[in-house]
Amino acid sequence: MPKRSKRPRSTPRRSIKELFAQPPAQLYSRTTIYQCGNEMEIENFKTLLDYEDGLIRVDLGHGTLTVTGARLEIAALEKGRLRLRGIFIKTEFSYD
Amino acid sequence: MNSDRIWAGVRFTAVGGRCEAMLQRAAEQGLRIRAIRPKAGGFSAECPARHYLRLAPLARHYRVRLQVQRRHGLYFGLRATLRRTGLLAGALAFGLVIWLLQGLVWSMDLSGLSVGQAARAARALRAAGIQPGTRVTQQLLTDAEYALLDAGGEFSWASVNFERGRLTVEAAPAKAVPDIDSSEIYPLAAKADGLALSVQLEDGTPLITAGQQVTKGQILIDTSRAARDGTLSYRRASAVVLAQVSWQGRAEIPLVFEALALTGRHTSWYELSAAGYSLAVGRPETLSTDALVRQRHTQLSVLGLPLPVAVTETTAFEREPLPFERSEELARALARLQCEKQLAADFPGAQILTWQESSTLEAGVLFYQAGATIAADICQRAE
Repeated sequence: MPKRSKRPRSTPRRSIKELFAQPPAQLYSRTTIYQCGNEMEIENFKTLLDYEDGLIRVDLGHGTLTVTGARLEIAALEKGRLRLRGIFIKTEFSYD
Repeated sequence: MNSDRIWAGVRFTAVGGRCEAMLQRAAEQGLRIRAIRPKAGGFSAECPARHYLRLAPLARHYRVRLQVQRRHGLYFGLRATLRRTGLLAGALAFGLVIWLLQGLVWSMDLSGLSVGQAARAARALRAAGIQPGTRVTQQLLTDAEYALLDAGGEFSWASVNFERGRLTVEAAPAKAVPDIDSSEIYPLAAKADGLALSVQLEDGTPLITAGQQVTKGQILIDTSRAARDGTLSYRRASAVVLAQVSWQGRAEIPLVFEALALTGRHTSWYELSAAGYSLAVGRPETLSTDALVRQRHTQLSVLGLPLPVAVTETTAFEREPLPFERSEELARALARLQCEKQLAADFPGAQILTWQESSTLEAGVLFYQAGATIAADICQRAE
């Protein structure tokens, strides 16, 4: 029988420390993708590589995201933030 | 709907060059580009007009050809107008005038009153000096309230309020007040000779009975009443003594007479009043004294917008004296009517038992005489 790992004891000091703990570094600068219905939002991307009818390619820094679909429209484009609208058929990630 | 579309926005196409790189660079510079749709060799998109100016250098740098497809927003609609300073100055002057004239009466709200009450209230207010275009003061409002209360006793309560050009008049109609007895004590006497038919006593001491002949001035009902022990008590005399009375009346009606007749010609002129000033438009220099003058009070309005200017339209209908002729039959009917009116004034509510009439025509005048036997109340206050 494997030995059960010991759970660290909860002390008041540890509880307070956990309560005020900061999220891991670079959490807010990581690439995030949300999709809801026919809208997709990509945050913290690097560069818009390609934009054609039915295809959009975005550089995420550590790889590439390719979205294939129909009637794709960039509803809003801001620094590091892209909102797509259309019918999404396929999303493809490739890592360098 | 975003604010850029409302104020000033453009829809443009970007063709050729490095479109994606230009988009990326524009986003990094904070330019708000929306609704980007791909098209052959580039894309079409929307952006605020002010961002389009910053996008143009980027397009040149990335060798992208921009072309505005459509401008939308209020700015582009007004742009031609905004360059015309006269229009702007006119709009500002209009606003200034409106602001300066907000102390005048622009509209009068009499909606809480009936049509007749509103007309009479407006007349009372006009007499007090308040009409459209009047510069309102607190004293004027107070005077207007008193004027409404004094307007023939029609209103028992009145309130006149003024705010931002709107005069609101509220009033409550007065209720009928019962007559109050004067508590004066006086006997009743006969106002004509006659034969008493009935005595309906309400109070007092009757001195006559039915069937008795009475003469003019005779006391019919006395105020004193004797008790059994002979003590006199005084009370108000009140009774209806119905008597058969002979009455005579006469009237003279000329068959040819002169009267003012309308000629069909009339003259109208207007008087505009605002802020204490008045201007008469089209007023004739001379006016016949025989003319029939009628006035109508309205408010000046332009395309349905009422202005703080009162308009008094005066129309003078010309009249001239003309001879008229009436038939003998018509003259007799008029004479009969005059006599009946006279009888009704002498004995209100009298019942005519017999009516005899005679008439003669002398020198174009009908002399009419009527004799009637009536049954009427002959009581009157004794002198």
